[in-house]
Amino acid sequence: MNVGRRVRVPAPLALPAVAAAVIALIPAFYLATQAFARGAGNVWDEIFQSRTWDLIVRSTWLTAVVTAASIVVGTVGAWVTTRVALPGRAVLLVLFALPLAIPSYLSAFAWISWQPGLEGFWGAVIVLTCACYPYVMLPVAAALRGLDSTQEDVARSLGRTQRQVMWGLVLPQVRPSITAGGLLVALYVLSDFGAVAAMRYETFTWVIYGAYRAGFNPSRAAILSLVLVAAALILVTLESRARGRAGAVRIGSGVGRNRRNTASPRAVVGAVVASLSIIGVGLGVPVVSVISWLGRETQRSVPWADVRGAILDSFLIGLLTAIATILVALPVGIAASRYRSRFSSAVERSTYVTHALPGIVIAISVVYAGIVGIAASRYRSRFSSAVERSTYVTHALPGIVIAISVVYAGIRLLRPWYQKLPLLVLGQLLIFLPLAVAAIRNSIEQSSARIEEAAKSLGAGTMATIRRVTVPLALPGIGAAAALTMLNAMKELPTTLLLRPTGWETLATSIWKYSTVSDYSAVGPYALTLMIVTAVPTAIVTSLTVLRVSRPSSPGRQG
Amino acid sequence: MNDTPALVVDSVSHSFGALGVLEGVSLAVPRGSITAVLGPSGGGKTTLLRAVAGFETPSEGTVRIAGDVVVHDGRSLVPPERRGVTIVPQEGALFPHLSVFDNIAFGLKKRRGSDAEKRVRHLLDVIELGDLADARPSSLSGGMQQRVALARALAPSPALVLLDEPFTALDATLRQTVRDEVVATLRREGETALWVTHDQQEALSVADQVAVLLDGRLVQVADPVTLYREPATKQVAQFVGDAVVLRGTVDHDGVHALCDTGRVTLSRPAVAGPTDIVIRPEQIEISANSVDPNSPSCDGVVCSTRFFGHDGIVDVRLASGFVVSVRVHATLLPAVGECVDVRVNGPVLAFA
Repeated sequence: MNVGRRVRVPAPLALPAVAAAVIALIPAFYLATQAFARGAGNVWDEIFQSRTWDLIVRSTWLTAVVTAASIVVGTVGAWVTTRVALPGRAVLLVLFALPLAIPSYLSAFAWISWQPGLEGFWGAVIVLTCACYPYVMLPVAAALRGLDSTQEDVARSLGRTQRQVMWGLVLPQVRPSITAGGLLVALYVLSDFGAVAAMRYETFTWVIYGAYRAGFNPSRAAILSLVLVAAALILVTLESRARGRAGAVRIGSGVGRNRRNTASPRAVVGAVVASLSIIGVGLGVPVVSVISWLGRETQRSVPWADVRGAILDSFLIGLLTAIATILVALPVGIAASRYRSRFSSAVERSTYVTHALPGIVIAISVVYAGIVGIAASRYRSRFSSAVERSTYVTHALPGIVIAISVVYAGIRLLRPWYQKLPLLVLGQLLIFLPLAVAAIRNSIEQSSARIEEAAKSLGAGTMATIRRVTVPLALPGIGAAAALTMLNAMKELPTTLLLRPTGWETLATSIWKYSTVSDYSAVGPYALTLMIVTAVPTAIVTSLTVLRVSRPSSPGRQG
Repeated sequence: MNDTPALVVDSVSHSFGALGVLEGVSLAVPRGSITAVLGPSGGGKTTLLRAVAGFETPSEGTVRIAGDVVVHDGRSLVPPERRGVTIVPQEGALFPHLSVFDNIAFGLKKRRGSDAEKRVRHLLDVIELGDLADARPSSLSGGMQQRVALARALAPSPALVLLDEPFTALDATLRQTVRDEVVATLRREGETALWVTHDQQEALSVADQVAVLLDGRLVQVADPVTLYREPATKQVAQFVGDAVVLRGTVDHDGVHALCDTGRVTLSRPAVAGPTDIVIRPEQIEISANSVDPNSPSCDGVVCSTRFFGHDGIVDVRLASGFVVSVRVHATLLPAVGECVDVRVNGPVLAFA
């Protein structure tokens, strides 16, 4: 529909969306100035090193294997929880989604402490697949629930077998959800540090981290990060091409009724086996490991006061990040779903760029942004304290060519926030923005654009329509996005380590502090608490993204 | 009373890429009247409606609403929310998160207070859903939803209400009832409406004026009776109502013609020579005849009949071999294979 319509994003929406894109591009600007600090020749030299190619091959291989495995596991999980007549499927779905609540570095430590021989490529594959398959499972399960089962009945009546219907009719329709989930998985794998570090499998993120820490070679780190940005851009472009027009706005009402459930013995047995494997590997190993660490704790008393403090700090950071991220993601999500144009898709894509970057790079970019602001305003004392905090970044200062005054203006605003909560929130916001944008966009696309047209014809302006119709209808998606952001912010490690206010200790930083020195018995309480606390937002995400789909998205019309 | 038409569409054209959907459409909708835009699917009806509502900006032409220019030469001058034009979409598109009351109150300037309350209550009474003010749209039947959608569109007292095939989603029996209610409401409230439909029966029965849109062109704008009796082209004749088309020859006098059913009178003079003769099925009268079906003096032979209860359709093979469909009273339904006399009542149309 509307093939030839010229779409213009209304200004009240475009301005915050552009602001969001500019914020999201801060790390890319930082990386560009940093990478080219020693001239373009140096960039090519670094990239064309055989070691760099080796890294590209290793990272690509890991990304490909984990993405493929996540797609298989995620799709099977979605099928089991939506199409097989098993009792308590809603609970099963939440259980399947729970690995979202386990940070990859924690589950890596759990596997290593149980099976030290697993170190390396396959260990990283197992840990990352467990951490990532929910990103495929949730959207696919939602899509499966939303499909109209009459189509399948028609196909069967036209002589197709159950299997042919599955491959020829159902899968093609959920393919957009599979590719969108696959994209998130691939970006996650590219940016993950915890799992590959714990498994000692050398990828981009690990080397980038090393370049910042050991060699103080920020230029090399930035160049490698730029390769990651390029990889992210390629993936995002491939995905949007694969998605094609399938994501188009849905018209009309009606969600399939009387969904068909398979109860054939083969399907049920297969589903049970699949369920047990998924839960056992994704949830069982980490949980049992952590509990066994707790068992060792009996010799020592648990520092409950510290744990409680860490819960509060984690919760506060998670909550603030969720709120800030939603506020920034909302205009981007609305623009991308309701005002499709090159402009809005460019804005949307720019928010995805940060997703492939390791948290460490984003944290450093934010610090850097803070430092530039400080330097520009000659707050010498704060400047020096920032230098203490991250000496490596000072290398960048001579290379500052603040050509982009927009960024500069934005950066100045950050100055008073350094080492305070807002900067940490900004850093985390940059990482989770794409997740929130994707969730909000999908949920807006679920509702019919005709409803908004009706609102406009009744005299509600663009912003009034968004406030009175679009946002209320997308509330489940917005809630899911908020819960997802909160969940991830509570797990997030590198940005928290680097940007947290002095004296703050979250569950994630505590786990890291003790597990890097292999003091697993001290890790136990924090790890278990983190898993329990993050399980709540995980359950919320699951029920809002999948379980709500069973309700018709617009009123039925049968007389 | 102001004589400015509620809507004036002047030479509006629009295309999607290379595909032209509207070509030089001009139409005026007088205040307080119902105008139906009748056309087959894909004929450009919905595009015209969306152009008036402001969701599509036509590439050429002018649209005036209550005298104000809202679209001129490819530029939208007034956004949808300030046009004073409300829509009743095909699927109702009620706001699922609001109650029936809040749905109806949505377009009011002041949604709280006694005036708003009074307006919504009045409309709830008009659509006879006074008890369901607090209900959620999802708990209503399709017909109720459409009535709420109409009340919602009427609440802000718009200059014009657009109805986009509002009853296609309803089943046939319900459709008739809801349609009657909606028309009664529009009439009682003195509303101006532009009603898009592909159903010629609906267009003829509800509208003061019917505009026939075929392939993006307005072929004829007329009141229902004129449209049916004097269609401008053969296509209109065939689209509006059933039509029997026969080949024939116009006499030299220009007011009679000879065709397979014999000599007929033309409703308007035509140029002598070969022509298409259009006859409405109800103009053709058949009567039983005891003549042997194989004899040359037999006008036609019944080859099939369809019985509808109150009436029926009889297919008669004329002596020339051409088959015409005739509508007859149920009591007069002849048997298949019988010979019948065929007579044409009243003047017929000729299209050269």
